[in-house]
Amino acid sequence: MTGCCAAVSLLLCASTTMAQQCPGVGDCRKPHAEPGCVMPECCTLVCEANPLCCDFSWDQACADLALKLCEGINCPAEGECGASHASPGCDQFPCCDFICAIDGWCCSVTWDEACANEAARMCGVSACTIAIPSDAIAELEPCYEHFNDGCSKAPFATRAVLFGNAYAGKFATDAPRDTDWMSLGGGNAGDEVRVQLASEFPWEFQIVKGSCEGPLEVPILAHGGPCGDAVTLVFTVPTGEWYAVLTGGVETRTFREAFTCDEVDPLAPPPKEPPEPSPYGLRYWLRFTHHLAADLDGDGRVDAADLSILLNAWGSNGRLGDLDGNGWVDAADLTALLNAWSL
Amino acid sequence: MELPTRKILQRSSMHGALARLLVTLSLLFTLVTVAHADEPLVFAQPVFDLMPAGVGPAMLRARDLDGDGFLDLVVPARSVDGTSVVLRGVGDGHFVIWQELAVGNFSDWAELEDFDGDAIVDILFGVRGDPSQLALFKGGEGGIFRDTSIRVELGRDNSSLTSGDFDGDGDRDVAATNYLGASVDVLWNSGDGHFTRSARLDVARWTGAIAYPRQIEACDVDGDKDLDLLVVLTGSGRLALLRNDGSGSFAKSREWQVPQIGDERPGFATMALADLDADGDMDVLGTALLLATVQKSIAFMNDGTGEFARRIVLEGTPLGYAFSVCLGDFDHDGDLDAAQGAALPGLVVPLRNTGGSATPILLADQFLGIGQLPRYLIAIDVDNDCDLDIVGCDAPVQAVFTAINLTPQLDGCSPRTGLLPPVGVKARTANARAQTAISAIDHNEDGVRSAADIALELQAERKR
Repeated sequence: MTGCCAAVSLLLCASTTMAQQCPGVGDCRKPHAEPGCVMPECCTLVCEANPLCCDFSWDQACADLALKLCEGINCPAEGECGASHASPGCDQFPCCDFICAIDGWCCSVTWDEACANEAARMCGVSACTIAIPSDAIAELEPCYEHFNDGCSKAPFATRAVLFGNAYAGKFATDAPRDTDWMSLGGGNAGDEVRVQLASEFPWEFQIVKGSCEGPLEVPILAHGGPCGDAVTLVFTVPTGEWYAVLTGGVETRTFREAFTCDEVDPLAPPPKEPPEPSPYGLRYWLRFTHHLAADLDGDGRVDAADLSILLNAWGSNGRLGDLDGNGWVDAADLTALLNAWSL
Repeated sequence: MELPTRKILQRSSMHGALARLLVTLSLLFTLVTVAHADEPLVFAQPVFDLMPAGVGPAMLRARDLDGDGFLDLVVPARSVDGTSVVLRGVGDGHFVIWQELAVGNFSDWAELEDFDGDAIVDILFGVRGDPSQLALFKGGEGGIFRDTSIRVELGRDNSSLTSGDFDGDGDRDVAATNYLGASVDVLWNSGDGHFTRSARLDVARWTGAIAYPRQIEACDVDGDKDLDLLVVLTGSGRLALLRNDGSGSFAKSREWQVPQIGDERPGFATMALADLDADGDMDVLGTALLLATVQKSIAFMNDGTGEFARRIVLEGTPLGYAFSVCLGDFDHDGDLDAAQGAALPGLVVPLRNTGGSATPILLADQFLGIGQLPRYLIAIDVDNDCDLDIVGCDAPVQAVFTAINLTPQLDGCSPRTGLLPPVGVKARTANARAQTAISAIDHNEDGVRSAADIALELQAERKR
C-alpha cells in the first residue's frame, strides 16, 4: 500500500516538474545545465521518456533523445521570425508554430523569404469575422466544390458579376485550392474600375488576361488582409479577354494548405479525425464600381459629401481633392467635381 | 480524367517482355535498313556505362574537357551522398568515370560555361535540398574541377538552370527554376562567378494546381537581340515565356497550354529548342505524355515575335511515357530530326523529319530499348565521324547510354559502318536494376489524376 502510494506521488511529482520545466531554456538538441528546453512539444516528449531531463539538467542523453524524438519540431529556434535565415523555425514560439502550420517548409527545410513574409503579415493578427453587407449576393459554391475556377479546372467556368452589386464568397485550400474567377459585365477596355474588398484571410487579387489555351498572363496582382476594414483597389480594364480572380496568399506565396473548408462534402465526409481548423476565417466580400476620380469618399457617387471633402482641402497641396493633379486643390478641381456630379 | 491505375500496373509488369521483344525487332530492323542505306535513321543498340554505385544521373552536358578530341560528359546526379560526376569519353561511345564531385545533395542540372572570366569552363550545379543552391566548381588545366565553395541560395527545390548574358555586361548570368516554389530566380554574375539574385518571378500564379516549373532555357524568342526565358511548367501543362527588356529585367510570365490530344491534356516534362520550320526564329519541341494513346511530341511554333499560339502535334514513342527529347540533323539532310525518350518501358526513338524544314513531320524509324527512364537526351558526335549520336542518362538504372548513329549521311559524311556490340555485360547489369513501379497520385493537386501526374511522378523518381 505504502509502495503504491509512493509510486503515485513520484509520478505526480514527475508530471508536475515536467509541466513546470516545459518549455525551459536552452536548445533541445544541445546539452545545457538547466532542466527542460525551449521547444515545448519536444521538451514534453523528452521528459516523458526521461523525467530526469526535467528534474535536474538537460544533459547529453536528453539532447540525444531530442534528436531522436523531435524530428520536425523546430519551434522556437534560432533566427528572427521576421527575417529569412538558413535554418528552419524562428525564435518566437507562437509565431513560429503558427507559420509552420500554414507553411510546412518553414519548419522542415529553411526559414526563407516566404516564411519571413508570412510572419510579418500574419503573426500577431488574430482571426476575425467580417461583416458581410446585407445586400451581398452569396456565392453558390460550397468551399469543397469548384464551380467558378476558370482556367484552373475544366470545364472552364466563371462567376458573372455586375457593377454595383456586392458578392460574398469563400476560399479554401482543399486540393485543388479554390480560385474564384469572375467575369465583370459592363466594363470596357480602358475603364477605371474600383474594387472594395474585405476578407477574413490574407487575400490575393489578380487580373488574369487571355484565354486558357494561351497566352495567359497576370498583369495585376495585389494582396491584403486578413481582417480590417474593406480596402479599395483601382485598376484599368485591359483589352481583350480578362478575369478577376480572388484567392488566398501573400506576396511571396500562394496558399495551398491549412485553410480547410468548413463545410462537409456529403460525397466525401471528413475522416474520424477531422482536419485542423483553418487559422483564419474563409469568407470575403467584394464590390466592383466604376471608378470616379471625384468620388472622394468612395461611396460610388459624386455628391455633397465629396464637395465637403474638397472644400475642406481647399488651397492645400494634399493629394485628396487634387483632381487634375496640378499639386493644389483649387477652382479647377471644383469644376471637375461639379461636372462629375451624380444625378 | 481518372487514371486507369490497373492498366498502368499491367503495363508495368509487361515492360520486361516488351523491352526484350523491342530489342530483338529493332536489331533486325537495324540490320535490314543499314543494308539498304536508305533514308531511315539507323542507330546501333545503345551501349551502357554504369555510374558509381548509388549515383542516378539526372542530365548531361558535353564538352571536350581534357583536349583529347573526344567529348566528355558532366553528369549532375541524384545520390544520397551528394555526388555528381564527370565522365571521360573514349571515342567509341563509351564513357569512363573520371571525377566525382561532392556537390552536397541531389543535383538535377548543371551549366558548363566560363562563369569566372578566366576563359576556362566551369561547372555550375543547381543543387536541390535544404536549402537549394548554386554550387560553382572551377575548371582548371586538363579538365579538372575543384570546388570554389561559392554557394548561392535559390528558392524552393531547384530543378533546372540556364545561363547567358541577360544584362549585356559580358558575363554569364543564371536563371533557375524553383520547382516547389513555382517561381524563377534570375541571378546576375558580378563577372568573377559570384551571383546576386536580381528577381524572383512567379509562374502560373493564377492556377489552383501547383505549377512545378521543371526546365528553363534562355534564348531570344522575339528577335530583339536579348535572351528571354522559356519554362516548362509540368504541373500546369504549360509553356511559359519571360521576356527580357534588354537590361536583364524580365516581364511577367506569359503562358500557353499544351493542346488537347484526343480526350486528354498531355503531361509536359521536357523541351528542346530549335528553329523547326527554318523561318529564322526559335521554336520549341516538347514531349507529350499521354495515358490513352501512343506518345506524341508537341511543336510550339514561334511566329517571330515570341507568340506560340500555333501548336502542332507530332509523332512520339509508340510505348511508355514520353519524358525526354533532343533535336539534331541525324541524316545531314538539312532539316532537324528528333529523338524522344520514354519511360516504362525505357525506350529511345529516333524521329526522322520527313516534312522538311517548313513543316516538320516526325516519323519513328526505330525503337532503341534502354533500361527504365531516359531522363535526359543529347545529340552529340561521340566518335568523331561527323554525324550526331544519341547520348542519354537513365537514373534508375544508374547509367549513361550511347546509341551510335549508323545512318548514311546525305552530305558525304562517313558514318561508322561496323555495329557496336548490341548489348554488353554492363547493359545487362544495368537492366537488371530497373525495378520500380509507378503510382497514381494527384501530384499537382488539381483534383484529377492525369498525365501531368505521371510526368511529375517520373520527375520525382529517386526522391521518394
